[in-house]
Amino acid sequence: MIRHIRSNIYRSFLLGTLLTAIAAGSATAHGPDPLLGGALWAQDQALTYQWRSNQAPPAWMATAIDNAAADASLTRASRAATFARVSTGSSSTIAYGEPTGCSSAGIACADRSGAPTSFRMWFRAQNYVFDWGTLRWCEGLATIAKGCFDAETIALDEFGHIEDLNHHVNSSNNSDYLDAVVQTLSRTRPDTGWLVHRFAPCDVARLQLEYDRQTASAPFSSCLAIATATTLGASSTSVWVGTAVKFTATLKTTSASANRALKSDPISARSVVLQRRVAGSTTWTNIGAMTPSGTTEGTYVLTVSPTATYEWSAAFVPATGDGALKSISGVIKVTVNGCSGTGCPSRVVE
Amino acid sequence: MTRDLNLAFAGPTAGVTLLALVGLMGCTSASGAQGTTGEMPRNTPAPATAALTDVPSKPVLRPLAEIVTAQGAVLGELGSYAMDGAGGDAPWLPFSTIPSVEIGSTDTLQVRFADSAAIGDVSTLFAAAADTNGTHLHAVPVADRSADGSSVNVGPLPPGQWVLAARIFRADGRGDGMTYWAVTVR
Repeated sequence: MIRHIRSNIYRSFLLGTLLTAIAAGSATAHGPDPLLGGALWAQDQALTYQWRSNQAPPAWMATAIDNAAADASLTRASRAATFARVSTGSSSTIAYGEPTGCSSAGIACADRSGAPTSFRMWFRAQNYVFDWGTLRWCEGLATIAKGCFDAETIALDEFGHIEDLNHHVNSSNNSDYLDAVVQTLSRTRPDTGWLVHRFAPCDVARLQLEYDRQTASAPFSSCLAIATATTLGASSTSVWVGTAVKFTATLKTTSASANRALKSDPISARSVVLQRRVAGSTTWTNIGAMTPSGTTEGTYVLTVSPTATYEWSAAFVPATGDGALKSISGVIKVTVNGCSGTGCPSRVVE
Repeated sequence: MTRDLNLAFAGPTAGVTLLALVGLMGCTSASGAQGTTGEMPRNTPAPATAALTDVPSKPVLRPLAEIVTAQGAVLGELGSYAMDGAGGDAPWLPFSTIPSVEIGSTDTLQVRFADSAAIGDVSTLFAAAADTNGTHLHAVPVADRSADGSSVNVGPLPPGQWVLAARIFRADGRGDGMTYWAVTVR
């Protein structure tokens, strides 16, 4: 009987858990990291920092923090700010040991309220005693041990905060923990995600949304689903049979506000296919890959000599891992006029 | 309030209120004490000679949560948070080190901000007390929201001992925090 009651309780609980997932609201898992808040840095702003007076870290920690700064700069995959340490003259400081601006359980913290001018960052010292245990930074141990925090990973999380990243919203079982470095739960060796030295897809996603990509050909973070728009034009829509027609497609992100800094961006170095169909048909036939223009970003061209009247369109299908959405252009009808006898134009070489 | 507060309830249906307080906290002191708790910290004392010039000198608002019952409030332990352009990071906080609450197996918990700010998203998780790293997390059911958006009812939890972690976002977008309690479900 007791077992039966417990079984019912657990069934109710599991149902409730399912409903939770349904009713969870907008804290969507596997989305870009939320924003931390405050002003953005300028695109590609070169931020410097120096050790706070009397709170310079030991050499092993300094190396870890500097490495994390480089990690952030090298893996931002966006036009987010970069970081480099200077010996003096910076308005931004990083401190090791007390005092800190961190909460009582915090191993590290950051403050970007000075953006776009300055930031601050703090790290608790090795062997700091919390209620939950004694802090061990792996890099500061003579022999690496279970339960230590990788300082470079944690510092990268802090630099993410400085960029304007809030903690990622994970799925309820944290199975997507590796989608972001900027995490609500800091993990220790050897748990999954304890050692990560590059921004992860959902960190990059937010950085791209706020700061844009570095180039038009750069991929979109796989944590994004950026709406795109493909348009198609033709050099002529009424030609003699055999006449060359130059089709020009443009591929951009849409102007939707959800695309933020990425909106209306040209998208280069992608696969755009020219396709045709008999007028009124629903079946498209691929004619060929359109060639990226060498001069205009987001433009693709292909010249063909149609032999009959067709409807034409261009299709962009993103590669696996590219966080852009498929788009297909509107339809252009190119009418091909037959001709025989005198008065017809000479045969056009395709 | 103490960390060892262990509240008992009259019956299995006794209501429990989980009150998410945005605590107006004094700047974290050199000892790391949380200003709202009034607790004696067990953290490492700070060097007495440390300069304070780069540490926030005015009160810092942190999204700390609290469980409130008819018997009183149980302030949680703040883990990672983000607020007004600042953010902090902490690990999963283990059962033995966080404020404790005892509830019945059918109890739900009401969550709200103490300053009456509307709640945005709520993500509430729990892990077994023995899971000291929060490796195996489960979602806690969200039963309903109040009409004015100022509170959320979560639960119930299955019988046992759990670490409950509530990540609560302010609707005004100023921030969010993950707050922990040790919950024993009868």
